[in-house]
Amino acid sequence: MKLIARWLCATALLLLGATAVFAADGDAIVIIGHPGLPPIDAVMVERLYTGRAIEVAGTPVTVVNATLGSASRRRFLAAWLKLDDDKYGAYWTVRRHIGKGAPPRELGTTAEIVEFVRATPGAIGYIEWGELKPGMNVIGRP
Amino acid sequence: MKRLVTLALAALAGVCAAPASATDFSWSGFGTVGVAVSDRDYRYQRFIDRDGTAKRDTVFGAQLDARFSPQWSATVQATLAPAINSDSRWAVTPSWAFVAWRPDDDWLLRLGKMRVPLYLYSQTMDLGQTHDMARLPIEMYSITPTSDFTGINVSRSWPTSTGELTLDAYHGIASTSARYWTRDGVAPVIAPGQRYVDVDVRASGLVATLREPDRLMRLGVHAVRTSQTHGGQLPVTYPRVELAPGLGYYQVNNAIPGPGAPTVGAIHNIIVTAGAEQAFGDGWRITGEFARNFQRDTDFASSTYGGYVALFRQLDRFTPYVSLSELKATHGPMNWYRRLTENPLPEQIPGATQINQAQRIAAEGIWVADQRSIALGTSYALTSNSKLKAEWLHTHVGAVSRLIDTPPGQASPRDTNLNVFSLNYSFVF
Repeated sequence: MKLIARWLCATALLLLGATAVFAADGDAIVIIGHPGLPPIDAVMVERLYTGRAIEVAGTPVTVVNATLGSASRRRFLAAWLKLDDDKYGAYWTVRRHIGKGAPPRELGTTAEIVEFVRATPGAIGYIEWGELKPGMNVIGRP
Repeated sequence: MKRLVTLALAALAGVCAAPASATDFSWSGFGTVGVAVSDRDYRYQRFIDRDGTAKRDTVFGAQLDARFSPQWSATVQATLAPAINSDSRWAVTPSWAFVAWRPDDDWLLRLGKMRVPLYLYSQTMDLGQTHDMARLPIEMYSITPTSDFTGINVSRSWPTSTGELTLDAYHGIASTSARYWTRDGVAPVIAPGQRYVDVDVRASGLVATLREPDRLMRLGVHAVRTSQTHGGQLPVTYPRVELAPGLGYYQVNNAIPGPGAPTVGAIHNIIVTAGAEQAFGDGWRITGEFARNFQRDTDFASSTYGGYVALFRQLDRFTPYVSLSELKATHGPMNWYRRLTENPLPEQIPGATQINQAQRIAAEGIWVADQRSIALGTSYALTSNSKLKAEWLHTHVGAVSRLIDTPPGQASPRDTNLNVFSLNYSFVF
């Protein structure tokens, strides 16, 4: 009986652990692009979201952000740009006011980002892994 | 240049014809509310005296950015601040109004009105929230009356491991005002007090900028041509008129007897600037800038060297700092200032009063400065978008400072010190 109890406990712990891992993966941020855009690496993501690049493989692109303070934006900035919202905002405050462009457009919900990326040639956005749907063009994975 | 502006407007009209739905508009606002008070009766930097002023540092601005496509955009920025051609009025001035075309990652072409990267913080000097000093050192940030030009700017960028290296080439014109202070005037022709002369400035430059998270470096060479808007001539030198051995005067204008003073229609300056900001670990950061202003057309126009070094230490929300700065005119203009002010004709000589007054005014038209400052201050980040700053500035004036308004009848302050206390609130949104 003790053996069965131990086995059940171990199985329960394993399942809890697996759930935790799955949750972490579900929260991870992936980069999605308009159909046809090729995969990009972390350096290119950083260059696009800091305004230092505007094209991918010769195609002009438009990147969009989640709204300021949102959880997905915080996770994106931390994972992909190694920045927090304050530092990212400070960076764009300077860049905007030295005449080098405005920060990316912000969209309020994942559905808006997905729809913008689907409908706009050259569009790039990010969503949580758990929000991925079949047919989306994932061009960047953590 | 008119063709350039027409081209810019045509380009703007073209991109504005894009569907409104495809255009992404965004705007931001910024400002500083600042008060400064000194321990002197005379005014320093136009406005600061013992009575205190909010006019030296207060500025409000707004910027609208329109993105028509990844390649095309337009920017308009306007500021409300004390007018550059009046000590009493405030004025709304467009700082930016340009169309930008970015054909690829590396090239950026801008056409319209822009603030050129003359200093390390030229383009953000009105955004107090982006730096920690209560006031960028005047010894550096006063070498030209304006850094806003209408023209063309071509940028080429090269990515570095964590940032980018940019080379800017620009050419532009500006109509601005040069401020002169006349202590006594010449009644009834010239009233004492501030006097603004409209000038046309044409500038070209080449600037290299390295911008990385912990480092900002800039090196620039600028060629500037300045002429009076209404065609006035600028003296090259003043001939000496000897009345007796050891007794004479300088013919500072052609209404005074003499052989005639040579003049030119424009003067040319070459300005070389270098600046760097480097962050170290543990919140330490050091910044330094240096500018050398060369001028060889006349004996009198601006020919200076100036700069500063500042050390910062970020401690949570506080960033205390100390800065040392200096501005000096070269020997030529300084010697002329002395000749014109230190040896007046004896009043017993007929016409001496008028000649002495004319020499005094001519001296006041020479861009001279001999001063150094130390500033101790701190910024306090109230939020990520706003800062409160306080500063004590101690300035030593050597032979003379053109940044001081000498009250009528008094001797120009020299070999003296003054203290300025400043409190600023800056924000951006």
